[in-house]
Amino acid sequence: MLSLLNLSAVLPASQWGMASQAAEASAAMLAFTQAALPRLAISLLAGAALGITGAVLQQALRNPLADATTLGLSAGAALALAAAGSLAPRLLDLGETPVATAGAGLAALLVFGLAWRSGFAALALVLMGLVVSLLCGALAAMLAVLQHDQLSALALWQAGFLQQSGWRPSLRLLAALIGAGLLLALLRRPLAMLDLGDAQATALGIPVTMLRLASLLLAVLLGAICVGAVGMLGLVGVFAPNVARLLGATRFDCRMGWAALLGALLVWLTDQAIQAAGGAMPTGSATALLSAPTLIWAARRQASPAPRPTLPPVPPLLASRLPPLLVAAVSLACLAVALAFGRGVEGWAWLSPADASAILPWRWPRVLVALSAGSLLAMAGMMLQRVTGNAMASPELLGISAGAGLGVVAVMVLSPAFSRLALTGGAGLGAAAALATAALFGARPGAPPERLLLVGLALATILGAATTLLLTSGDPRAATLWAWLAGSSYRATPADALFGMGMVCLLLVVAPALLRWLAILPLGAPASRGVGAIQGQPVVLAMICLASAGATLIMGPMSFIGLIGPHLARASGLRRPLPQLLGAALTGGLVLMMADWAGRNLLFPWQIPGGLVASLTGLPLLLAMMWRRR
Amino acid sequence: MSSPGRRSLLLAAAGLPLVAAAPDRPLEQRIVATDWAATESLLALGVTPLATVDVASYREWLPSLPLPDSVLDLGSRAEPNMELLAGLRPERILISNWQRALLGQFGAIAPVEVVTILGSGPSPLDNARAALRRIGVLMNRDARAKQCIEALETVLAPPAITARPLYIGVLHENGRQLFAYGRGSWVQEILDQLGLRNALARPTSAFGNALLDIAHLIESPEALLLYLDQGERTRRAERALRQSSLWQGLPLVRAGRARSISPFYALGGVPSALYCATLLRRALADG
Repeated sequence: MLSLLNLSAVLPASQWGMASQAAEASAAMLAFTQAALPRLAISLLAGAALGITGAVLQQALRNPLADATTLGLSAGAALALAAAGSLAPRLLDLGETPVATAGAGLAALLVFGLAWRSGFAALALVLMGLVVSLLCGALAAMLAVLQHDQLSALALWQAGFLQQSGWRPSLRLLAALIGAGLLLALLRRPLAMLDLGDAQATALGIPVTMLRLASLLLAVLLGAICVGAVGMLGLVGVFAPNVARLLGATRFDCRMGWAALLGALLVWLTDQAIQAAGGAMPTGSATALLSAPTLIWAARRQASPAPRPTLPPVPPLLASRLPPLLVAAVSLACLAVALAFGRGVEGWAWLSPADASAILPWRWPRVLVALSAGSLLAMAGMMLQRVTGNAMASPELLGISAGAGLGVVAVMVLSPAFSRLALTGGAGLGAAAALATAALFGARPGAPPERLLLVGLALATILGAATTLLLTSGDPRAATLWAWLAGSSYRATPADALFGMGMVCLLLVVAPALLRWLAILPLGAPASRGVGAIQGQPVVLAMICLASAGATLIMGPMSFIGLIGPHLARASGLRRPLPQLLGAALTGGLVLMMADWAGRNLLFPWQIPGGLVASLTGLPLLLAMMWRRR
Repeated sequence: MSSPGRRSLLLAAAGLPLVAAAPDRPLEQRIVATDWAATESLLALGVTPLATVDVASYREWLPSLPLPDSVLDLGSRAEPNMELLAGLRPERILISNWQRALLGQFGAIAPVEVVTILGSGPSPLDNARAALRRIGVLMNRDARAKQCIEALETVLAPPAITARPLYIGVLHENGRQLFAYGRGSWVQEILDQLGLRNALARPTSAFGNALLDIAHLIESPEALLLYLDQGERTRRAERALRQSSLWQGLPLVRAGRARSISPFYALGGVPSALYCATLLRRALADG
C-alpha cells in the first residue's frame, strides 16, 4: 500500500500501463521505470537474500546470531573497497560491486580456511569470523584515517543506500537469488536434520561436514553478492530468521522461506517508509536502527540461551612463570622507550634534555592514558570472560563503549564546537545510559550473560548506523570521530592520565574482594547458585562496566585489548584469578602503550590511533594462537 | 583542462597576485596553519607558513596556490602532530572553527587565531572575507588582503549570462548519487552574486551540501550540471553512469548539459571562492 502511494507520487497510477510502452515519453516516466521500480525490486531481493543467508548460516553453525556480518563478510567487503581505493584504484574501474563482493568472499574463505582444521566446528567458525571481522575493520579504519578523502566513499557504501539508476544491479541480484536459493532449497531437509545434533545426523547417514561446507559456501556466496550490491543492511540476517522462529517456524525447512519473506518485508517497508517521509536517510542505517531493538526483544523472549561455549585450554607459551625482576625490568624499559625514544624531523633519536621541556608535556599524558586504558580494558575483559564463561567475550561487546560513542556522536550533531568538556560529558552520559540498559536487561543474578552481549551487539549496531549518518553529511570533523572510535590518545590531558591511573588503582584494590566469585562464576549458573556466588554477578558486572566506561572516556571505544589481554596472561601461565587479573592488567597496559608509541612514530608526523595499531598487530597473533590450538 | 599554466593565467586575469612568482619580505612571524582555508589565505597574502596539515592532499586539491617546498607536514587534519608543532616554536597558530576542541592544547603552544568559514553566521563568503582581513591585520598585510578581496569582487561584479539553473557538485563513483553544493556554502553566494540560479531545491547539511539521487536531477530538466573533475574518481563515476539507463535518459544528459569543471575546495577561504567564481564564469562562457 505504502509502495503504491510512493510510486504514484512519482507517476500517477493511471499512466502505469503506458510505462512499459513509452518508457522515454516523459521524465516522470523515466523516474518511475528506471529509479522507483528498480529500487522497489532491489529492496525485496536484498531482504530476501539476507534472510536466506542468515537462516542457512544460523542453521549450519547452530548459532542464532550468525549472519553475513558475523562471518566477516561486511567487514571484508568494506576493507576491499578501502584497499582498492587507496592502493589499487584501477580495480574500482570494474565498479564497487565486484570489488566488494570479492572482498566479502575472500574474508569468508579466510574464515573457512582457518576453521578447516577444526572440522568446521560451529563455534570455531563463529570465533574466527569475529576475529577476521575485527581485523578487516581495523585495516579499513587505518586506511580511512590515513586517506581522509577515501572516507566519504566508504561511508556512503556502508550506509546502505538503495537508490537505483537502472535495472542492472537488481537483475544481477535476482539471478544470484534464484541460483543460490534453489540449490539451498534442495538442501533444506538435510539441513533441518542438523537440529538433532551432529552425531545423530551422521548416524542417519547425512554427510554432516560436506553438507555444512556446501550450504555455508552457497549462503556466503549469496550474502557476498548481496552485500556487494547494496552495502550494509544492518542485522536483517539476524532479524528475519529469529522472528520467523518466534512466529512459530520451528522447523528449518519452513523457517528458510519465512526468513526470506520477513527479510524482504523488513527492507521493503523500511525503504518505503523512508521514501514516504521524504527523508534522505540511508536504508541500511534505518534497518539497523529498526532491527536492533527487535533483537533485544527477541533475546528476552528466547527461552533457552545459546549453548555456552566453555573456556578452551590455551597452551602456556612459557614453561614456567617469568621471574618478577625480569617482568619489572621489561616494563620499565617499555616505559622509558615510550616516553623518551621516537622519531622527530631529524629521524629516530632519544629525547635530549634540552627538548624534554617542550616535548614531554605532550607525551606523558598520552603514554599514561594508553597504559591505563589498556589495563582497564584487559581487567574488564578478564572478568567478563570469567562471568560469561566465554573465551571470546570482550568489554566492547557489552555496549558500554558503543553507548559512549553514541553520546559523542550526539554531541557532534548538537554542538558544532565539539569542545573537550562536551566530548567527555557526551561519552559519560552515553556510557551511563548503556550501563542502565545493561542493568535493566542482564544484571539480575542468574540472568544469562548472553543477553547482555545481545544488548551490546544492538547498541553497537545503532552506533554504527549513527556514525555512518554523520560521516555521509560531509562534516570535516568526521575524521576526528573516526580516529577517536579507533582508540586514540591524541586528546589526552594530564587530568585524563591521572583519572585513568586512579581507576586502575581502584580496580586493583577492589578486585581481590571479587576473587571468590571470579573463580566460581565460570562454572555456570547452577554451580554458582549452589555456592551462593550468583549474588556476586551484578557486582562483578558493575566493575566491568566501570572499567570499560573509564577506558572509553579517556581513549575511545577501541576493541581487541580487552579480548587479548586475558589470553596473554593465561598463555604466560597465569591461571588462578588474582595472578591472571594482575597479568592481564600489566600486559594489556604495556601492549596498548607500545602500540600507541608505534602509532605516534611509525609514520611520523602522521599518527595512527594506538587502538588501531594494537588490533592490527594483535589480531593476526590471536588467529595464529587459535590455529595452533587445534 | 586543469594544466597549472592555464590556472595561473585564470588567476592572473582575475587580478590575484601570483604568490609563487613574487618574492616576499622576510617573515615577521613564525606562523603555522592547521587548516587549509587559513593556509591558502596566508599564501594569498604572500606569507609562507612554517607548516600545515596533510601537505600531499593540499597539493592535490588546492593546486591554484602552490605550497612552497619549505612547508613542513603536520600530519592529518584531525590530529595535527602536537610534538612537532611545539618543537617548531611558532609565534601564532591559525586553526579552523571545527578544530576548536583543541583550542586549549594549541593555546599552550602559541596564541591561536580561529578561522571560521562555514557553520557560523548567514554568509560564509563574508566569513571568508573577514578571515582574510583579520589575517591581513595580524600579518601586517592589510593592503594585500584588501587587494585580494577586491579581486574577488571584480570577478563577482558583472552578471554571468545564462538563464539556466545550475547544479554544482561531485559525482559519487557508485553512479547513483552526487553531492551538490547549496545554501550554507559560499558556492550558493557566488551563484547569487553572479545572478545565477541554483537548481538544488533540497535542504542542505550544516556544511552546505546535499546528497542527491541521480533521479532527483529530473526535478530540474532544463538545468546545467557542472561536476568537479576529481581525476580517477570522476572517471569511475562517469563509467558507472554510462551504464545507467536512468542517467542516459535524463533530459539534461541527453541535451549534453552535464559537464566537468576543474575541482575547487568548497571549505576554503577567499582564494578558493575566487577560483570557483572564475571557473564558473569560464564554464558558462564556453557555452
